[in-house]
Amino acid sequence: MSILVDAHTRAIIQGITGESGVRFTTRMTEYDSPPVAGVTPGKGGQNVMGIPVYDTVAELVREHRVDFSSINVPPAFVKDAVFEALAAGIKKIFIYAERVPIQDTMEMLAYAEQNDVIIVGPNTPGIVSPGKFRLGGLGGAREYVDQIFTPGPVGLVSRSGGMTSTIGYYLSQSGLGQSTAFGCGGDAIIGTPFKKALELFERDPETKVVVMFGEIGTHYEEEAAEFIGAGGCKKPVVAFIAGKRALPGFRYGHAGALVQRGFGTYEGKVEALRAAGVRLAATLQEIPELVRQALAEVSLPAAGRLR
Amino acid sequence: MRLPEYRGKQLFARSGIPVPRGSVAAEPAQAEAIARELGVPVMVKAQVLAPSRSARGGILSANDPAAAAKASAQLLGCSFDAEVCRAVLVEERLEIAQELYAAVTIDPVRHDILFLLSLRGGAEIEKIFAQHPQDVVRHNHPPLEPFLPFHGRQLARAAGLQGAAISSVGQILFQLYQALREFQAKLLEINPLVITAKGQLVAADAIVQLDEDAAFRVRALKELGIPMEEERPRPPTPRELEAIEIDKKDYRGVVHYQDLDAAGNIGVVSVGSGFSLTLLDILDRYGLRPVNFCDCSGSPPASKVYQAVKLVLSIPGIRGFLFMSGVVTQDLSVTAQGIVQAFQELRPQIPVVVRLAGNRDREAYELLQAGGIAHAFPREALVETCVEKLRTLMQEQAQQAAS
Repeated sequence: MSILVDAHTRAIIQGITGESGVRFTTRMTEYDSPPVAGVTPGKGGQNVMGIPVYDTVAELVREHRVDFSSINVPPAFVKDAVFEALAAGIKKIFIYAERVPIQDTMEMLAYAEQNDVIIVGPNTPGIVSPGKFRLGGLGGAREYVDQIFTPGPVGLVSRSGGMTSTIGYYLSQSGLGQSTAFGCGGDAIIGTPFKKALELFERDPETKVVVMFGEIGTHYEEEAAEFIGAGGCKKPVVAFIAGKRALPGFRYGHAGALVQRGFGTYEGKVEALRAAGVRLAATLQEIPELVRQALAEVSLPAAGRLR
Repeated sequence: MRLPEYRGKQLFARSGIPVPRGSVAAEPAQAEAIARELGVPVMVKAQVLAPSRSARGGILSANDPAAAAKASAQLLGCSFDAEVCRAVLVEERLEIAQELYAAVTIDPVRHDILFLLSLRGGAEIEKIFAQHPQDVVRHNHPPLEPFLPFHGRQLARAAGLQGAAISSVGQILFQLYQALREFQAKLLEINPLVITAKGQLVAADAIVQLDEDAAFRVRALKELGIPMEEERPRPPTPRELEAIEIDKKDYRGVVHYQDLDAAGNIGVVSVGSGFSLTLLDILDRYGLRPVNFCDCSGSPPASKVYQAVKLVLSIPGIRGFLFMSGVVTQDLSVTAQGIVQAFQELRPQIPVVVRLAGNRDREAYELLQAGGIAHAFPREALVETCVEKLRTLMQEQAQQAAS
């Protein structure tokens, strides 16, 4: 098992002939999890590395069963592409673009919530269920990705794409593989924030421990702390929160990483998570150590755990 | 992006939200002319974004044109935190019967549209929010459903309004909603929303926060000549301006630079926004104080990396330099070329540590070594190990200097 994607996932790419679409196709194909098809209006009948291209998603779904659509169009066109996928009945959406207009994202998320749709992103490089499936280019070329992400019991979710790989590498070098690792997105509002990721990891039997990388800005870490505190995720959670030294009011790359009016502060997040029983790492090095401790505790027989 | 008040009011006026008559001035003579034209007592308001503007003397009253000139002379050039007042808004003074608070915003927690309305508007609103939250009526509106004037009237009733104000305030909320959508705003706030002695509603202030990412589709911004600028709590420093130039010259990759701590001891360039934030915290943990933040990522060409490294290496007084990446997908051999070029040109006498991990990092490592960077580290080196190495090198150099 794993979450979001597995060996049976059938993914498509909207915007497959563009720069990121071709790169996704390359990375997914070399991971032996190629997209089944793609869409670029006006380029129907062509192919990208042998993957068939359609003009519309409606035409594509007549020929292929689809679980997941990766949206690889510029931010201004994301909403249009997402609703096209939803209209064709696709239930899982992945949004690569960053800095999607916030009102567009708001509308997509409202629709998703009402219609049992999962949206990952915006602003994420990919999802990897090691050895099974890679959606996107997370981890880079094949020779690198196999060192960064290895199969195992750790669920990894990160606001930052780069930190997904960086932490994956720390874990894998310590012999701690992952069930699924993914970037949940760096935009100010996103579809699968920590709380939703924790719900999914909690239900996944392969996942024994969850690692989350959060950063200043937004409410998502606090929301996760509330969820854990209320018993929503009983698996141990290890967190690293970045931005202790960041100055309030500045934007740090990610649209979401912005502290305003005392909202989304480092201290607020760390206190909330700690109070919920989350193990906080102060350096990256501590992440694998804390994961190992947590794994040792959960693998104790029930009697041992009761002391 | 926050707009100054007069810009916000221009947008309000386009949505039919009543605003006081008035105009913006950059010189006392201009302010005097505006006041004369208005022909009534005026308010002269500093166009700065700093909070508590009124309490800090940023809003003055003037009974005649000469007093308006004097008031503007007093405000122009004044500093509010790091912000200098460059313009004043001169507008008719309102006869206030009642002050309300009205706002509409994208709720970042619930992902919908939040309306706020209170009969206790004015300078004390922050206190009301904190101490009397029951005096603020809230409504979370589903984004896919229309917001109509009746929703506004219901809110007006819930807030306790009576008579004619129910419809007029309901209408203002409806107009605020339309403005939020049309201008792709993140926040529109009117405080106070004044009911005048004659019973008319007027937006006496305007807080408008737009979505930079949606500005391309908002026609009004172009028509009014409103530039989209990055939001900053203070004006950019000379090095920040230089970095903005470096970033603009080539569209490939980003250089996102910020001056953090003038009393710091090291200069830093890092790859990726999440990693760059993380690195600052790790440095803090090891007692190193970065002067700056500089994210150089998104596959920049070597020339852009070179300029970023040169900018940071040239910061006076730094006693160490660090270039580091997490595990990244950009071609690091290109990154390494830029680093080496800057290094060879400037020949820094301070300790330099470089660690690159990810795509083509082996080639990058060789380039760094061949380029004379003595303390280059491959991907296997932990971030913490490299930071510790820099600290040790800096301590050694300090000891040598002392002896």
